[in-house]
Amino acid sequence: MNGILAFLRRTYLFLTFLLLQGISLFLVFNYNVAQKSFFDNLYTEVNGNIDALFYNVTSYFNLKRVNETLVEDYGKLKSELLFYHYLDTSTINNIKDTSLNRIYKVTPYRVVNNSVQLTKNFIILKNKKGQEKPSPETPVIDSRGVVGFVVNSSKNFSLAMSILNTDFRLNAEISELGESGFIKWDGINTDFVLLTDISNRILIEKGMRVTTGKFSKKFPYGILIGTIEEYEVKPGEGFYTIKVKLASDIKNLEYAFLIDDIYKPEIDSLINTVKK
Amino acid sequence: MKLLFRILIFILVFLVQILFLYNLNLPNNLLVHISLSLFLAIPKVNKALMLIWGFALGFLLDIFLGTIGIQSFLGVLILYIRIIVEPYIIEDYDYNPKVYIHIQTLGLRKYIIYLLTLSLTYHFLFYLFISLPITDLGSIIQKSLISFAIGGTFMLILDYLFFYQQKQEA
Repeated sequence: MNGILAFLRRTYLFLTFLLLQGISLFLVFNYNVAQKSFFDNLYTEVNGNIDALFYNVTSYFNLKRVNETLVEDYGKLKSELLFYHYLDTSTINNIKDTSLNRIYKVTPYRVVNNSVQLTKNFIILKNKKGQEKPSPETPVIDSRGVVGFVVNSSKNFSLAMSILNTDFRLNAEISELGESGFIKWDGINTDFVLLTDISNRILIEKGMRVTTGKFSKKFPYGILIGTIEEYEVKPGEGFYTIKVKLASDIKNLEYAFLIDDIYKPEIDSLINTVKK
Repeated sequence: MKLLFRILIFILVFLVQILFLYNLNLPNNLLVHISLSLFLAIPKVNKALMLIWGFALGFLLDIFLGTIGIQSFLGVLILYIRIIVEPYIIEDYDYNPKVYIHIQTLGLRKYIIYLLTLSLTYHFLFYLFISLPITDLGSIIQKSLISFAIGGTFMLILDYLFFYQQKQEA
């Protein structure tokens, strides 16, 4: 209390000055038309700027939520896209059989760990709460292309083999030519994978698109893997060794999408009956 | 007697300002202010009271000029500057509370500098308020300088005449 009184005693003159100036300015901006108009404009301008600043700050803090929403929406759109893609490339019978059903379900997952510096790299994904854990061999993609496939799942996490894993194999094709081969990684450069088993009798060009092939058991057909960067034919071999630049940004992966094939359990059980 | 003389001069300047100078139709909306000398004439009493006095006088001028708040603002500002600055420019300020700043107490050179600073501030801020929103700063400066030149000369003459005579009489 004494402190407050001492402060007031010390600053009473300045406070009186401020009070009187405040009253004067209030009078100026309330009882003079031109000044009032100026003040109103200034107030609107300043208020608008403060609102804009506040909005920018709050929207920055909301970015995480917005990002998650966008990822969810992207997953939904991607599944729609895959469904139509399937329609485009299937036979008439298949269209009739499947036009009322969704073939693939695409779900976004957050990446919690991702290694690229090893030769056998894996990606750890956080499972969705309240959803069934992904089954092994579920394809994993990002917004640009193939990333890997699930190898194992626990209650909260899923482990996916990265395309940057020397054990990774995937049936792929050059989409412009329809020629099939196999994708693998040589463990050297994280931006490139190798496409093998393409006959050297075929004419290929740099920039051609490489997508998942028709005969892939794990991946839906036609998902982009990358584009042809370089190719060569080793002496004594009848096949190209093609260097494919990856479309997906594996090093900076934050979200990945898992593609569930709705018919896969049914197909697997059919295959199992034959095996038995 | 001295006090009565001061009050008479005060009323005279006030009347000249509101009845004559405010009604002059000068080109380019120019206004001549000698009201600054009224603010400078406010006696050194309690400092907060000086500010209130300045506000009241400014408000009175505002009523006649139709610029509600502007003269009050300037009056309080001038008085505050006076309170802050005067102890530094009057040598025996603390020992002689009745001393007033005018041409005799400060000397011509010092007084002109003091008046120049206050008067320019006063005129510049006045025209700044009047011209809101500011579109032509050059015109504001020009008007401030002309108004300051006429008003300042008028105030100097007034001050010189009355206070010089007063000293002669004393």
